Amino acid sequence: MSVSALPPVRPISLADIEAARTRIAGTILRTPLVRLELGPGYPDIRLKLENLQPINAYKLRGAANAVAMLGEAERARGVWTISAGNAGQGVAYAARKAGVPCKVVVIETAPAAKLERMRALGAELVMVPFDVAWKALEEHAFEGMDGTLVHPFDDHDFIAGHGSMGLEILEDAPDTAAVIGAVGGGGLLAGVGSALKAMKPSVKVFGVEPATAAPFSVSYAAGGPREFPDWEASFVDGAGGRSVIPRMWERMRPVVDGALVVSLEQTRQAMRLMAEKARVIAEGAGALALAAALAGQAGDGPIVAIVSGGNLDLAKFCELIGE
Amino acid sequence: MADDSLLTLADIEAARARIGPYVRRTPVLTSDVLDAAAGAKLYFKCENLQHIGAFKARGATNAVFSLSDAEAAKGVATHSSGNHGSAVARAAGLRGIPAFIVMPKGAARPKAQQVERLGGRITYCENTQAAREAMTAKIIAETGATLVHPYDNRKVMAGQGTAALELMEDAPPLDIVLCPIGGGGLISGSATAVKAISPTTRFIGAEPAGADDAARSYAAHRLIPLTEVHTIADGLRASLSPDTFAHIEARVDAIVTVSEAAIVGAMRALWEALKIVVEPSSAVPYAAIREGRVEVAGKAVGVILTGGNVDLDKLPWLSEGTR
Repeated sequence: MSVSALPPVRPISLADIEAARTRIAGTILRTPLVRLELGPGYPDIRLKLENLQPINAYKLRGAANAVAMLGEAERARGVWTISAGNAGQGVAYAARKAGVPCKVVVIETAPAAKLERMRALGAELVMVPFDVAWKALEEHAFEGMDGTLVHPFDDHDFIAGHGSMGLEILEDAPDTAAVIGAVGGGGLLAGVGSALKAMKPSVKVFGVEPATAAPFSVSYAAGGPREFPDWEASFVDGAGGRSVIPRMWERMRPVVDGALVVSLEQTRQAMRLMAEKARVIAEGAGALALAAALAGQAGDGPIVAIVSGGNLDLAKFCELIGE
Repeated sequence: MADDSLLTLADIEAARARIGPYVRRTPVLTSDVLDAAAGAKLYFKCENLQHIGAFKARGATNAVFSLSDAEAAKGVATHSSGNHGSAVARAAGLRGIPAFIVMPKGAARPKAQQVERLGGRITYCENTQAAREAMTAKIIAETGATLVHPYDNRKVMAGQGTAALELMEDAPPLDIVLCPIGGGGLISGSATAVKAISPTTRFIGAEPAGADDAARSYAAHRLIPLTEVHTIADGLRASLSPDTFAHIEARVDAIVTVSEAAIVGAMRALWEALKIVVEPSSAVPYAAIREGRVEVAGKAVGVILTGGNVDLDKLPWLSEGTR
């Protein structure tokens, strides 16, 4: 399928999100929203702990919704996705829970632990070079896959599932003034932003990226999807792409109020602070929002910082938070 | 043994109503990785995500809010260098009364800082049990404050039992529930709640082999206090009181002990799989599962994770060479 043949992007409605929420209730954890106790002089920050989901990332929401929407025939043929990361684990987990076969196209250099986790969840893995995986992502197709693709970000139902998080946030903290979420593919922000803007338009929705990989920030300044010129790899491997995909730009732009950027050092400090004060482990991408909130980039609050995930090697985590 | 002198489910339900506005209903987490390793379904009640990072917030809040206004006006006192001191300081702050906390000289600086931040008034004494008790008695004589013992107090015991009450509601029917044993406050309240709700559920206590007074006392049917303590689980170094022992005798089905190596291994496994920070004491029940001290195959097992206050720069798996 060529990109032009993809169904046009349409807004994620509140009804889509509410329906998703009902569908996924038995599969996901309604994660806690906890106040970060920092004492006087700090903004009022609450953490939405998506790292506590059964696969330790918010992606399970979208995956569970997409899988739950399959018809009988589609269920039998199974689902497939393209990801060695949190989306792959989410789809594998949701598929296993629903009794649906699952294949995952993964980059052959992905960490063994992540591949093992997906195999343990019953997924069949197809190993390919990076360029092949990227092409499959862009084309929404891969030779030999006949089941339903659950695209790891550019998928209406997947994003609607993420939106359920926005409903929970406003139920637990109706006074929320700002919500910050990391931007990788853009699905998190598109989903949560759609929910928030439908329920409480005055809430400010911010995307955040690491300074070393901030195409959304560049795109936001330019008013259209752009590449990030000096992209660098870092421990923040779950956010900050090389570019913003035009279809994802189209989804995010109407529901986002600003693009924030934090340094790797700020991110590292936010990871440590969370371990100390909230007693949770966040991966780099999961700490970006808190780092931006602490830097005062989202006002005085109440701010909700989405802790999107916690999947990183423990030895690496300990090294990063060591002083 | 006649049970009519012991705590009842009504005591724990009353505690829940009293402390409801001041404590968190903590999440119950699951992990397919830990389930696969154990061959069982494990449900982790995450009290490390409680206020002050430990279940102790529950018991202290119940004790402080059970006082009459006249009693409360004179304040509360306790001796604890750990989580209970913070819990009493916090609860007293919420009620707007003074908290006198006796701590040994040389107590870890972060713990003293946390007590101060919560408004507790610290008095330092020599690091012996006798000195702590003498100093606390002196303060009580001078101020008229009420002692809130860390475990030998029915209101504290009942408050600690509220976590198990929530676990029984939020998890599917459980075959076994496990918690660690220090002074016995948590297990007294928890076993009371669990056995009242589900008499067929087995309640098992776990403690370090290096602080095994409960196991010895349980086997001998008489209280045998600790004479020597050797464990990394710093929250479990206290000895049972006659009252907590009576609850254990009446309501606990078995007590198992675990090695120090198993505690560290279990702590690390919990960090890795659940993405949460738990302290060594918290890891003791899961260590018992991991070390095969409890037969869990095919069972639904509830595990109370008690707290998450650790020195991030002194993690037990960070030996010199690996930093």
